[in-house]
Amino acid sequence: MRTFRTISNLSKPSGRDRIPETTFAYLQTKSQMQAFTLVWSEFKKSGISQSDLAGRLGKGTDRVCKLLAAPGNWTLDTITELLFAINGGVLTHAVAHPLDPQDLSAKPVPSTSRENSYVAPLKMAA
Amino acid sequence: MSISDSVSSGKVFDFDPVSETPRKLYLSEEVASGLFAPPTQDLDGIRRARAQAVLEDFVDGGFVTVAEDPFDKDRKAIMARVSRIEWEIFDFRCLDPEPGIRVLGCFVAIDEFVALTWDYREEFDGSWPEQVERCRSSWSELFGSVLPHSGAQLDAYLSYNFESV
Repeated sequence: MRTFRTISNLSKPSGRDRIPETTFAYLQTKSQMQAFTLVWSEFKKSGISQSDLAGRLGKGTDRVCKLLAAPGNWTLDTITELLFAINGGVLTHAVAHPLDPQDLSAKPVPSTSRENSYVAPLKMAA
Repeated sequence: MSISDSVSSGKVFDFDPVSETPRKLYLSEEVASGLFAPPTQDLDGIRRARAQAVLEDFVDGGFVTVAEDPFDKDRKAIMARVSRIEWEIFDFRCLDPEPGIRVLGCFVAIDEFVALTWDYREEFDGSWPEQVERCRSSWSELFGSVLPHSGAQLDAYLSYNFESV
């Protein structure tokens, strides 16, 4: 069966061959979206308000609302601050190799819950 | 004609038939062959590559912010209702790099979206009505008199990982 996933059309890096800008663009957006989901999932589970979060971050509520409205090229500092301020979470890192056929860690964890239990590939420390 | 009939007849394409998440994305021929064509190595190609990632994230259950008022929305929302609301058209707003891309379509069931038309954002300036009509025509060609999925609240369209903004 055909998939339209862009990843299925990518090639593993090799030698000194230049990686296309569009490959980086696709992967960057995927990372941004996954970080966004990670933060929102933690935020939803925490039960705090955006106003509470803004207070913990020392920022205005408008600023936090704007931040949470859409994914973006968040810095690691921003993600770190958000996760800890939400519920004391700390980001840990994992690497998937979706171009390796046997690497299952790249697959998203399916969720059927209405309580936003989707777990993005980025990991949270316990 | 139902969505399954349309997929069986090759008129729309299942984005990922083996996806394990509850969400489904279907592509019209226009979106499949245009937006998901191998990107060219220029700004337009970069825009399409990033838009591909946005739609793929939807299928993967990624968090979606949805603007429900077409005329008063957060400019950063990932999805938005398109006027006129009763036509049940939503657009994916692929914003980076600006001016981005818009992908218009409708829900066929909860968590199931069919992407019908797309274009670079600047092509919508001064021609939103024409772009919307193009989407509506695409729906009619594919599904005839069957109406898009509708509901009173956003949770009739998405069952998880969403927020109205």
